Amino acid sequence: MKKFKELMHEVTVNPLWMPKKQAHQHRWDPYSNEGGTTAAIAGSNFIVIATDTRMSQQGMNILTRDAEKIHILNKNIIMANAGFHGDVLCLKRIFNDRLHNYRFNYRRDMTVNVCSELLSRNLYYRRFFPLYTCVLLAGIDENGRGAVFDYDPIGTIERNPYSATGSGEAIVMPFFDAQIGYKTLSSTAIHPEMTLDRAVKIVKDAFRMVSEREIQTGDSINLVVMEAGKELKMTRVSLRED
Amino acid sequence: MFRNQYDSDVTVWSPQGRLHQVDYAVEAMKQGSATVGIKSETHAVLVALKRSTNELSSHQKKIFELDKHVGVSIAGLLSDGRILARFLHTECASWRWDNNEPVPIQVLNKRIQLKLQANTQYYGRRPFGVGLIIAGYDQNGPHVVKTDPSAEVVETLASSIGARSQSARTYLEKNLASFKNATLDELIKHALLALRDTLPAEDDLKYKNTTIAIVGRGQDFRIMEDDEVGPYVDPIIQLPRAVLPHHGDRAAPPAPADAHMEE
Repeated sequence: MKKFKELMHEVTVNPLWMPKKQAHQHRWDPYSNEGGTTAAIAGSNFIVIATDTRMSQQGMNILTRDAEKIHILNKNIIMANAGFHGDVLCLKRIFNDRLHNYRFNYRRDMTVNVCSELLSRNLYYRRFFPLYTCVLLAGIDENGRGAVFDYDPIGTIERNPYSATGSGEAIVMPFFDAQIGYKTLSSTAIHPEMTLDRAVKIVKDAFRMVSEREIQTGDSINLVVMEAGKELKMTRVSLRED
Repeated sequence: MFRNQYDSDVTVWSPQGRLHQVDYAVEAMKQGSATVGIKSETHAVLVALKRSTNELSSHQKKIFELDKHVGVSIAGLLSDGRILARFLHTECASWRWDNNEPVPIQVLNKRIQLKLQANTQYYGRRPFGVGLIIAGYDQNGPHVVKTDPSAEVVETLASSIGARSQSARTYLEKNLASFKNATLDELIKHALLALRDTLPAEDDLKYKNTTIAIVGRGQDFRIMEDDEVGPYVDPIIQLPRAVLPHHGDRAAPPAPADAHMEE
């Protein structure tokens, strides 16, 4: 009887017909996904970086409409995160500590180029238990030019004139490619110059696009503008709440 | 001081109840160039005289930023001082890591006290030959904390350590009443005047040898060196020396500058 019960339990929990992935879902998953989209544009002397403020669970429950996904590391560097919020907090903690040490040892703030490499290495340190975050780093470099760096969860780094990560990446990147990179517009289309106003408008439009069609993004945009030599500007723009 | 048979180890008491090695370490602190710390209701100010060994070398840095809300000025063996500054910095960083907030100055006081005391009680170690003045701002307001190689860590309203610092202390005692409600600029002026009193008559404060640091309500810890100290040092140079403002005779004796406060 005992043997029969064991076999019956085995067949209930791991039936032969169930794919391994589905069977695994009954086990505890160390990750969850709180969703969200981030986007950033680098200009000649500014950067515009924005995230939405919705935190959701399994794409369906809304945990908060007011989440903070932009982290200002110092007056030259901003980090925006989407994905697993636990790892987002971990990354924020690591970086505040590293920047603090740098400031004590070198008596000045860390620059965005140094920070970008540091971030890449820190993500790779966790190669075999990754920090599941879609991180975007942006800032003004030593030459006064805007810089945007994007990463994958294990630290592949790329400096680009624009980028987006998170759940809405697939909707925002084609829009950026067309409007900023001019990659997909026809050759006779007008290519306006990338000014701060245009960058802010494009970012707002991009988020409105994502919140229309993507369930994990919405509620409001947290928009940060950093210009070389000026104070940081943070604004909130409301989005669809459904 | 006198050499005698009880001063070979820090673990040996003398018949008079003194630890001579600790006393000698305090003497080392008194060899360092002077530094002054003062606080008001809202701000704390540190000023320090940087020394250079000769015309060709740069001046040694004496003030360290430990965190956005706290910094330290050292006098004595600067290499020992740097080790202590690094220790305090890691305490600030680890408190931020665990608690996600700036470290309360009281916590730093306890930690530095234990660290300093350890070196006065174990065979084979020597006391740190450096005194610190820690200036910080936390929930309880501004703090100026003075430490000694003897592991005496005490909160003060104003203090000065280093060579000829007694003259600075005399100035601080005389003007103690005016610190509490002083503006930031007035506080810096008082600190520089006190610091100037530690210099011999023919020397004066210069951009090259003066450092000023400020911290307080709405003001992150900020160090000013070289040309940045110009606006504060220029008016001081013009003031004649050893002429202190006397506001009539004071009936009560002035309070000691290192007025001990209850924690």
